[in-house]
Amino acid sequence: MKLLIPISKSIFYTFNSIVKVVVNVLITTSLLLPIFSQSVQAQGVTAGTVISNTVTVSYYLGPVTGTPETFETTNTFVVAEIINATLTSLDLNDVVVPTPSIDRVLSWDLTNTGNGTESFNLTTVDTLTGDDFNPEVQSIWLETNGIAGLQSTDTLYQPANPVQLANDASQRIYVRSNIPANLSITELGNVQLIATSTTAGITSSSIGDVLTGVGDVNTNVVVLVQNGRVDNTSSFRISNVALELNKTISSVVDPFSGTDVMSQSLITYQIDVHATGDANGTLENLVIEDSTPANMQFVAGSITLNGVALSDVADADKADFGITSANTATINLGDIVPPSHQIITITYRVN
Amino acid sequence: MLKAMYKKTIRRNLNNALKSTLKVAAMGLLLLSTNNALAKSEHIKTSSTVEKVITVKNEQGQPVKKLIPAIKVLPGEVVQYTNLFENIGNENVDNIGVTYPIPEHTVYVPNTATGKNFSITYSVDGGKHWGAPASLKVKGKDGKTHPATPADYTHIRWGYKASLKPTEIKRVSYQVRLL
Repeated sequence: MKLLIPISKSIFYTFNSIVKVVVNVLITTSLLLPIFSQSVQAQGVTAGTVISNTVTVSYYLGPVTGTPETFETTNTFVVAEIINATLTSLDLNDVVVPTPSIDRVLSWDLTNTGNGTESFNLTTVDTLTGDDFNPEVQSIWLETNGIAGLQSTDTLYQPANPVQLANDASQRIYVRSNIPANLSITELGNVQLIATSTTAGITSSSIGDVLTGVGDVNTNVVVLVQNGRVDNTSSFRISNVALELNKTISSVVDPFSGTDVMSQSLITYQIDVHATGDANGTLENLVIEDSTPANMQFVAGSITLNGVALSDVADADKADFGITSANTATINLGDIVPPSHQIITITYRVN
Repeated sequence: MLKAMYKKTIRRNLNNALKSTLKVAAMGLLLLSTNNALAKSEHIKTSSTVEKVITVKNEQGQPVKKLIPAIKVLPGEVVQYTNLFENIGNENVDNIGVTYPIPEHTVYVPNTATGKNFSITYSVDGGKHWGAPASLKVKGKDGKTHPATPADYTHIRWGYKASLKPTEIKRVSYQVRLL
């Protein structure tokens, strides 16, 4: 999930130097969770299982000698089906979005916590009251390609194909929405996802009701979730978080202690990283990459962050040269909460 | 007098069995369920019943156990197996043993095996060896031997301590929890 970041670059010198910003995940999300949540526990014996029990009665007539007389009889009963499910949002905080924007994603896990195989219809509501604006839901997607997050190779949910889940199984669901224009910072827009069992008669049932003969293997169904329906609501919040980068040449030192640019001159670039906007949005995993300009060489040990020297090797100081990317200085700033101003300097020698 | 009472008991139980069967049929669950099973030899007739154990409040508001037909049994719920046996011959029957397994997908509910004038023993190895609860041992995953718990039981056996006289009826029961 990426936001477009307004970047203003000011390059005041003749050497063309390119700074690259890699913002892996710009806003607070929980998409890095494992794709399929582990089922917490078995939900019991599967619906339709026949529990059979054979009693043996033995006896003697008179003295106990030889083999006793025996006979058997068998009881059976069939395990009924429980219909139960949970729908859990994966967005632990409001999802921060700009106004306007498109294809913003909310994520849920639907888990069948009953003891039979069950199918669920999915619907959404984006016109809830009690929030500030209505997101515009575009589509519902199912995680099917094994790669965390929504990609075009996941599966678009079609109402004709309900989500079928074995007992204990989970399905990750993505809902894509567009965000209208001209909204104010911190305004909230809610989207509700609803999953409803497709079992006949369940939508008018109450918790504890028994539906006769409509469960797996024609078992009776006991409803443990009102109307066979689970829902969960998540929120978008409007934010104006933005990242601004300025790259300038802060000093030139020539071999003769002057300030001319010539062979062997040392050019020090300063990269100013400004995160602006409301403090509700977090810039996550912010990585700055600065590739060595043409006709220049990196000066070993020259990377600084806010005046502190960082080593060139891959270690805890989160900067390296040539290791994360060839011939490139990489500075990993981690999570940044606005407002924030970070200053990076890097020195190169002219060939 | 005593005989009359026993006869009444079995008639009532048979009536109950019939009622349960009718209820099962009425609810459309003809499929595979045999909540009540009857069998007899020349000398002994038995009725084996499985019922669901539920807790209801009595008139004083106290919780009491009640048995209802095992029509909708869900994971975690408890069922009771009851065996009634009657001497239908005209001579005494000796050393009567009643053996029930703990069915697959269920676990024994501790202290629920009952039977008046019976010796009750348990097995943790599919019925090869029998003993009182304290004498039973199982091998754990660590390869060591541990005292058995009720969850380890595979079978329960009731041995009637006396001779069963003609027309006499005896009863044993136990409960398991559906996993």
